[in-house]
Amino acid sequence: MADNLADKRIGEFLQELPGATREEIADFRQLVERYFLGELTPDEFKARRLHLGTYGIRATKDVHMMRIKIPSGILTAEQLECLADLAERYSKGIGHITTRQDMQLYWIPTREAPVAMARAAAVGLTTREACGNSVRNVTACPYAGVSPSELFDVTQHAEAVTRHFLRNPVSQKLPRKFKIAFEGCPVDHAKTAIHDIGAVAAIREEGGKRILGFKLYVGGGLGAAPMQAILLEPFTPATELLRTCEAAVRVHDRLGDRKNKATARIKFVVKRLGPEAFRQELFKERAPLPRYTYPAMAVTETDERPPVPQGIPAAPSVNGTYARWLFTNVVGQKQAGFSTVAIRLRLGDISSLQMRALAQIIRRYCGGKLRASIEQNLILRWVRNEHLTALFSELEAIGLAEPEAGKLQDVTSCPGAETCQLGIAASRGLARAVEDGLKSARLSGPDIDDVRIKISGCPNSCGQHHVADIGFFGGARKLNDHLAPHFQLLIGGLAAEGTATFGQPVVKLPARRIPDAAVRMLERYRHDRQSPQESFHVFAGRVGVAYWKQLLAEFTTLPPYEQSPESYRDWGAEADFTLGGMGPGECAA
Amino acid sequence: MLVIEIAPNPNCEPVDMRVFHDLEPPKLMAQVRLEVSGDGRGPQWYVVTGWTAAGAACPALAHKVDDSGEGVALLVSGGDAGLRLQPAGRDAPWRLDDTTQHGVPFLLVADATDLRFA
Repeated sequence: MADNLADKRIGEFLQELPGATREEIADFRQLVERYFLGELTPDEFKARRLHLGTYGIRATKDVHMMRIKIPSGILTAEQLECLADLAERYSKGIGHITTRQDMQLYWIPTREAPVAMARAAAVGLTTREACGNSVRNVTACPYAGVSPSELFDVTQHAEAVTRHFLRNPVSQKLPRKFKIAFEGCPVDHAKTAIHDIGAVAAIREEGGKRILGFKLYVGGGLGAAPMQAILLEPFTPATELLRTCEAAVRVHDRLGDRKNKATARIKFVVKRLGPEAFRQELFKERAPLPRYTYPAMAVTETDERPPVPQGIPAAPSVNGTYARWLFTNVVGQKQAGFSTVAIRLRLGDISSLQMRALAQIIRRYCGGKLRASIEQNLILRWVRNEHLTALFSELEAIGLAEPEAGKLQDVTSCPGAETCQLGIAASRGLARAVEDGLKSARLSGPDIDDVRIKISGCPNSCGQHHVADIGFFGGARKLNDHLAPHFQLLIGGLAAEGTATFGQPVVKLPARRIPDAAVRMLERYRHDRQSPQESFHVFAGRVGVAYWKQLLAEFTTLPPYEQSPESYRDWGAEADFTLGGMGPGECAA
Repeated sequence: MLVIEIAPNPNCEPVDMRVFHDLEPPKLMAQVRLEVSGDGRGPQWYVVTGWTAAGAACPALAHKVDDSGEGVALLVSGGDAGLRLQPAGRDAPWRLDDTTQHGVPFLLVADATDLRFA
């Protein structure tokens, strides 16, 4: 009976979809049937479902995490409502925004996966190439089009790249995944230097004309072997954007190491050939490719227009949090009279109830759209300044008006060992504990707000720990003859346009000691810096690793197990920590 | 479940703790076909052994493991100082100072046809 209902639902959704999408979901539905009939081995099924963004979940069978791509981070109200429905039906009512502007939903049974996929496709969302060895979700600065400091709006260029590679045969079976990011601001919100391609807006004056283009940084990446991208050429005109990106993908396809997956990313091709030889390979690859065009090649301004607000309530009186929220979460747009508002999602999580309510809010305030950020937050745009108090009150009523968005107390974390099959330690649990510790210690203020903490549950760096002021990644070690979750501390990481400084490894700390250690680090930074203007990054470099090692030595120990067994447990765990029972590893986002 | 963690050693780069989920019992390895950096000769076969921090050879094993890209891959792992390789056809004793040999922490191979078992 349940199967018949699922069949009916998927049939209804499939009727609404464009041809290619309808076909691939119908194919996937057949794959699921063949898998359950035993006509496909689990390995064969796995390879196919991964390409459609459908992962395994730690220690489960035939239940999945589905990664839904949000190209350039742009979500409509209708899409948000669809995600709310899917999260409610399958994902315990929670959706998770990732560090690459995707939404991940969990606990989707295999038989229901095609239904969920079709439901998402009906509102223009896809899971295709959200995983596997393909061009992943193309990300973009969430302030594109409204940032006062941007050179031009990169949105439509990023969308053109999304369209170019989705279902493109050239990007279906690469040696490894391929990530592309776009940025138009001087502040590198998109972290272009750590991507396979990072496209940064540039303009060249030529004969009195302004030529639109990009500085393309190629071959960056994090993971266990982080590398900074190299500048491909001083200027790549927008007319050359698509074929240059395709040339990079083709070079990866041709020269990427298909024998050893551990060295298969394009960054290893750059390392192996050297920057100059790599550039020549790419230019050689580009030369015969057609000059693909896209309508927005010469567009410098946003195509968004100020929305007409509807049904905004009278400005209510606001509480004491409002002033802090206004300071940390609200930024003026280049369009006079409008602001962006960041919604801080703790650890990237948002509930179905919040999504539905937010959909209604953005229809009334923002023209029905918002953007996800790689800080795992949501950015509302085109909010009229006179509506900020009303918006604050409406967001506060649904628990989405927390201040500190993108600041010290807004810790980034990958899913970690709670669900990810590669996770060693509970990064989310630790992130919660660190946020709480910083809040209790009242550590905030303009002098330290810009310090960023990022946490991953393993060395794969989905939490981008390498480019944080204070980064952690999960591991384990024995103390007093008992295994305890540990995190490696990295200090002084930074990503800016064309530059990625990777944090220096300092020390491994037991997970349970880290919130106190983080507070100590920040207090000592405040005390020992040369002036309030000395950034944490500069300070960390000046004092060196030995300073931190000495400062944190007391946090490397635990009391004997018999005295404090809970100290040996992971954050959020009620049982002793173990490396056993880990499920299959699929999710190195 | 396999845990690989390699401390600094004279054979290969260190590796922070990584975990892999093994799907089948491991097989004893003899040779692996690899593309070696920049020599232009294309993929070549290499004899492979495990290597210990104490400086001795030990078995190298191939484990079928889960992989984020293609679903499964073959993890070739050795001792607590990784793997050591030399071109197939050479039967020189395993030594750190033999420049025809080189060390790697582990290999993650996509295709079983690139492996020869003992």
